[in-house]
Amino acid sequence: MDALFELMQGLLPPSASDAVGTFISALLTFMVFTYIFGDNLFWRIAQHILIGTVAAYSVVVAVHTVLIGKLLVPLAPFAFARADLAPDYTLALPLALGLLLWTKARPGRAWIGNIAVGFLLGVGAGLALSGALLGALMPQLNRTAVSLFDGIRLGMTSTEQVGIVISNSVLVVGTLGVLLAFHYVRGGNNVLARARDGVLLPWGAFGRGIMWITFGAIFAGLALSRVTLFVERVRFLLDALKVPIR
Amino acid sequence: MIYCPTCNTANREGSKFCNECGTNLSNVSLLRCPNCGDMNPSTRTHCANCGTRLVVQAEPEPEDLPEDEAPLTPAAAPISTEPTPASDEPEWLRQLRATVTTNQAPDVAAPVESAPIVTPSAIEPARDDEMPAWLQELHAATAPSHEVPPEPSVIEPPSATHSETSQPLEPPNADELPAWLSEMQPAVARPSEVSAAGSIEPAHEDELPEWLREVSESPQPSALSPQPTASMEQAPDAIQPTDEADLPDWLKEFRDSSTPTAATLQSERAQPTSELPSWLADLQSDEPSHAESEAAPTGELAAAELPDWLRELAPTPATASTEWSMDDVAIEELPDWLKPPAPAAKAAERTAPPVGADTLAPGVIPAWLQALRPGGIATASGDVIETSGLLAGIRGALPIEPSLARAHASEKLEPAPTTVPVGGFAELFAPQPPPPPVLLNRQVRQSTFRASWLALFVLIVFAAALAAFLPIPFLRDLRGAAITVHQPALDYYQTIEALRPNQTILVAFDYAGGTRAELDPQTRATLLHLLQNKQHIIALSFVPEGGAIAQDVLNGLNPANTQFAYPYSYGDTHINLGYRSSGDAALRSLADSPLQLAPSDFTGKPLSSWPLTKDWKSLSSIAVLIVFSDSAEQVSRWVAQVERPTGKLMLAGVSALAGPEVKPFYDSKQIGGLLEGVRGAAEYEVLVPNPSTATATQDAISYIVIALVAVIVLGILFSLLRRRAA
Repeated sequence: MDALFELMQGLLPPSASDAVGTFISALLTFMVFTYIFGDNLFWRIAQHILIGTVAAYSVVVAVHTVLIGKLLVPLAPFAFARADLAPDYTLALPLALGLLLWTKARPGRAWIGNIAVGFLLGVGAGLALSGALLGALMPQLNRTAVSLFDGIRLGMTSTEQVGIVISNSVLVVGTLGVLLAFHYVRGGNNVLARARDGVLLPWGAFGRGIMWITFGAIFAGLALSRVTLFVERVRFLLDALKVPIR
Repeated sequence: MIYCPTCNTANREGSKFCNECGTNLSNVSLLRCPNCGDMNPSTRTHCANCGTRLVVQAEPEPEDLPEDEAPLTPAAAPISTEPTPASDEPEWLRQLRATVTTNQAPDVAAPVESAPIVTPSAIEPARDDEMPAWLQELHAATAPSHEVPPEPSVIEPPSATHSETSQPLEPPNADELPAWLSEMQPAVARPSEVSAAGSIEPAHEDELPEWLREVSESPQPSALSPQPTASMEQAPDAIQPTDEADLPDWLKEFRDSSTPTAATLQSERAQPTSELPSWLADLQSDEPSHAESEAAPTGELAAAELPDWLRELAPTPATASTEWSMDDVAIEELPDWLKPPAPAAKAAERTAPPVGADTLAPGVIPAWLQALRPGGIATASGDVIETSGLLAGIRGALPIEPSLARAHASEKLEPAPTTVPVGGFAELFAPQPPPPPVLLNRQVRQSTFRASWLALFVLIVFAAALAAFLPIPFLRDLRGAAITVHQPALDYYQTIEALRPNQTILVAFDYAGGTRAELDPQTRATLLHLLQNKQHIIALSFVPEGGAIAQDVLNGLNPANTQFAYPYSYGDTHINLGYRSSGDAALRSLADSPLQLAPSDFTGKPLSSWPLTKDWKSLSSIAVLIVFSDSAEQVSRWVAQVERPTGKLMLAGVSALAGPEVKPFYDSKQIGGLLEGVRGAAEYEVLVPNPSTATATQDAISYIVIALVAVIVLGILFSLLRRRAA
């Protein structure tokens, strides 16, 4: 593949490869844009090229970088003419675990692969659980446990101080409101039950409003992200068409 | 209380409609349970309190059954519900009952559910004067018990649904009978065995088989009891030891063709219909009614094999219903369907395959069965309108696939016709033609071009292109002289600005090609700032495409491609470690031992061979971690697995989609600075200062957002105006 690429670079002028790449990119961009007219052949071709290219590239990178570069070469460098490396036989264990995964292809022998799957899931779950607990959950809880005057510094104007107090209030009340939005106990005739419903229900409704605002912000971010991609494509097309742009 | 027959809800006495489901209760009558006295709806077959059967279709002789199972007799349709008066019984039957009561108590007390149903011919022997001579002799020899020739007419108990039917079935006409019943007409009868007067010829002693002679000499009253509730499945076993050579012709043919043993019956009962013997498969598949089903095994007996007294006892077509009494049967009333079939027809019937609904010729289906045929008509919309049966007039009721597998159509349904005839539930099980393929709504929508979409697309393209041609000074004037820089971007910039020269920065390119438009401006501006400040860069990626993206961005930062001058040399100022396998374990490995995770760069050359990484052994030499990612989850992994264990200062640049989810990490000070989308890149370009593509893209995005907001507002106004006009 590299030889073919070098041959093409030798045959084409120096800027030809860029020109061909730009032309293909522009053509594929137009083919994707044809989806505005509905599902059609050009859109399908571009879609299949994208998926196929990404999948093939990922497989090649994984095999070349991980399987060969990190497993086979260190395990048997003499087989890859790497005399400068000493063989690391401890890598035989991950190789064996990887080979055990192939037994999953046969239902009768699938239980053998459970050893490798259990190792992967156990290590992954242990790391993820401890990381999520200590790295995300606890710091976030500490962050929400703030006073209303947290963040006020000297030199701030009164408007900024009021803004910080309001922000801290919304943070605390909104966090508790979101938690109360998932409080499903209702009803009751005693005083406590009526008080609970009278306080917690509106608070939970406020929390649901906070959640909707969050979802709206996430959706706005998605729309903004796609608009950005679209703008980049339009600028790319204008540049490819040699249209002078700012 | 009145119990709803539909939902079984208890309603107040006198209610006309069910409080729960609205079912009309005016026609609901109650049945008192004979066991516990509870009132049950007439639609129930068993008591809801004690489970006692409420609908008694067959009531055996009271003295024949134990007291505890009197109402539990399975439905034997041809048997009358009125008990036969004791005075009408012949003398031999009374003696037989007395004998059975004393000798056969265990057999009689056998569970009724397991007892097979015996056809009338097997239940009721002939009177004394109607008995053949050979039977009379046998009777005299075996007194006080009475034996009848072993009858093979043991059939499966009727199904619960069938037995619960209290309505008498109309006897089918002769021309409406199916083929297998028509073939059982008395076309062939052996004159040597059947006399012209209808009485059976006495069998000669030498024609009797050995086993019958043995029975005459040493009676075994318990083996062949004529009691209806006795287990007749044991009878064939009792006659098994018979020598084949001693059997008469009719018995040989009978044994060869249709007599099953008890063992075979047990095994055949557990087999599916397709594995049943031909005589039983034909019996199960061809039975059009309950009465016919009970007569079918009798039909297996050749006509010549039936004694005349049995033929005389067969009911006439007029009495072939669920209500006829055994006492009312006269010899001349023997129906055609009970007469033995012709041998040729019987042989053809045995070889016939299991008959289903499809194999029935239309001409042989009775009218009452014809009315139950499915009447679904496929409409143009793909639904099925029932034209007959209880579901008549209902659209899409059969099959259920159109209701579940298809998307709900938004079109209004046409009112169903109400003049279709009413049939039965048999339509539910009848084969239906496959529904025509219906396009899903999404498919229809994809194949339909909408001009409004094209107009919106053109508007957005125009807005994006407008920013490329126009510097839009008025927008800049509206926003101010420059892009407003927010605190996260300012913290991000100040963190990098505070670094000393020649410090090493680890930069992660954890994003794919789909978000390069958002994140490339961030990485480009950040790396350029680092290089200008003489920082060293180690790039790596945990996304397969990230390694190539990192190399592309680093190549683009070559001073030859920029307007800035700074030291730039691969291996000295920057290095690319390429793609490394992802996951929490890989990140933790990076935090613990980076050389173990990445012993070489993306070209495969060991890190020890590069001046920048020659002495690099841990993250302690890294000043700042900068993560560019389009996934908030990946940023969370970095925080949990690298930032927290190492305590290194971390910055993040994320896409606009991941921004709201990453922002809490910035608020909790786990991330020192944050860039969100192109907007964050533009802010950073303003701070560097190095106005580039991010700033220009912001103008185009502003145009598009303004256009979209205008379209939404106009759409809302147009909708309100149209609604008001309507």
